[in-house]
Amino acid sequence: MQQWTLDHIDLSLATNQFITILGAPGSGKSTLLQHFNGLLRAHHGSIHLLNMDIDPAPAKLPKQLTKKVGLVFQYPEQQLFSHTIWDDLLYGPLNFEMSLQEAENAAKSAAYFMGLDDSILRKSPYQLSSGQLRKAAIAAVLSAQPDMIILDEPTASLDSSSRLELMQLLYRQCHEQQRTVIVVTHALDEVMPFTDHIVVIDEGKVAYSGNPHELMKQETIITKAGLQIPAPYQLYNTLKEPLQLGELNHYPTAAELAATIKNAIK
Amino acid sequence: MSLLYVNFDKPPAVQFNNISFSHGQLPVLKQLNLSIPEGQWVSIAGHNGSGKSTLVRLINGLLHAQSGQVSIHGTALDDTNLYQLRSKIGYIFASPDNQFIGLTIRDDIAFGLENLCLPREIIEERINHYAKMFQLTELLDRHPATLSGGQKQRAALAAVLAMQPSILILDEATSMLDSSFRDFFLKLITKLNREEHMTIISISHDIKELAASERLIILHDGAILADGKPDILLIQQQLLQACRLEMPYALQLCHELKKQGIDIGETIDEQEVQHRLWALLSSKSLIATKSKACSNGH
Repeated sequence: MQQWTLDHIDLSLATNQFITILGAPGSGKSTLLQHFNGLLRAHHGSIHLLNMDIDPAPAKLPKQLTKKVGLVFQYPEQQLFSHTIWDDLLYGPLNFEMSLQEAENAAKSAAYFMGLDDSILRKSPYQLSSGQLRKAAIAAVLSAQPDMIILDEPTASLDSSSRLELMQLLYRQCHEQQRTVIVVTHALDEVMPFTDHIVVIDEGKVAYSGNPHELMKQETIITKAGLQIPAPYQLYNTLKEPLQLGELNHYPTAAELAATIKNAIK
Repeated sequence: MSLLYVNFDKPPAVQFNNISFSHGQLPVLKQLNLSIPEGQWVSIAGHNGSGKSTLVRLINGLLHAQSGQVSIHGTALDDTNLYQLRSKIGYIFASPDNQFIGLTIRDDIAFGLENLCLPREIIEERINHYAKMFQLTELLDRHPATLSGGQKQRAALAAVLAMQPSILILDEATSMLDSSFRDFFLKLITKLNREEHMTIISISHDIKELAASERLIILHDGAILADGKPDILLIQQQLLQACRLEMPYALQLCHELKKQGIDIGETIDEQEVQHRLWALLSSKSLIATKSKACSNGH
């Protein structure tokens, strides 16, 4: 019997959004994202991405594809290979036939956006902490100036301040640099303040695709994907009925929730 | 009951005497003294680059300190006894790809057991037992590269636990597990610690995981900044900042409520915040009874 890792996936995702793909381990989320830049080819169906036809397979993939779609693998620091971070940042743009001047500008801009200063750029990857390495590896992908950046578990094994910082940087990439950001993760609480759209993959099928705050009301989908409703939504949901609170349509900060509680019990 | 199992004459599982370690010119650990009793679950927190991984790698001799002495179960670690002592220590890395040896998950679990020179039947029994425990039975004949990140991490855990070490080191070993499996793993660790008295040393950035252990050590720039009960240390803002941990949402809410004149104390536990808020609401007769709280709360 043939077993499909991805089974009749229908998805339509808008550009310039912060999109999150969630799912239990082995649900097919990493497999799905490797279809976005042609690393894996679909057996059936079609993929249309940034005005390019990826599948059904043309004999040759559009040359622009790898430039337009930047893929950041799990533990991306393992894909750094140059003597200095600066050389690594230049590698992508030079390979995509930018002039040295253009490449340097692209690398500078990527470094700036990821918060890497000159002293870090001059260093060897061996001299950086894991949080710095992660940012450098992402900057190396950004320096090729992709329209879309896809990251597989980008915050794994970072301390929580670095996680928050990384999410903020990606959010800015999306809304200030007009890039489509797709994050594959199971850290629902980390992405909730930033994401515009959530896709839940369960056993190779799309279990949910839409508004993140709507998803917070659908506990069965979340639990089935091996996830938990993040603390702010859990607390809000419990207080909603007795305090007669309205529907939640954005991420409630602790200050907001405290003020809401205060108003309700006054 | 538990006192029956504690032998006060036993040497500590791990002892660090005046350990200093540096990478080239860069000092990583500075004159560290630390004693971990047998059967204790210690978690280690600290910012990226604070020396956590270096510290645990000294325990199983992956790294050698430039000065000072590491002792395992009372024996000073040196080149002559390294292999013998190492067999008692299970080490799980953050990135599971770093520790696969076998061509299949089955081979990988068997590898460690064969090295312990166990008879074939016992090896097979343990493979099946631990594969079942980590829901890997159907994946046993797959190549590690064909598994997802979370499945790989489970396979790495199974391979190490199958060797039944007396000391288990977890170097951010749950970073890729989803939250339901992480809860399962936390329960399993708690059980191994309480019932089988396994000494557990876990590095983590996850507040829940840190809070579940008996003792928390906070490393900062290669020295011990704090050492104590997790629930007492984790509500201290400057300690959280030192390990670059964001304040948990529950604690943020406690602080914000206090600013609004509502004092429910300080806790990092969401359930606890929920209970305290319910108690507050029922005292203001905003909700009828406590039983309603339970049915609504879960």
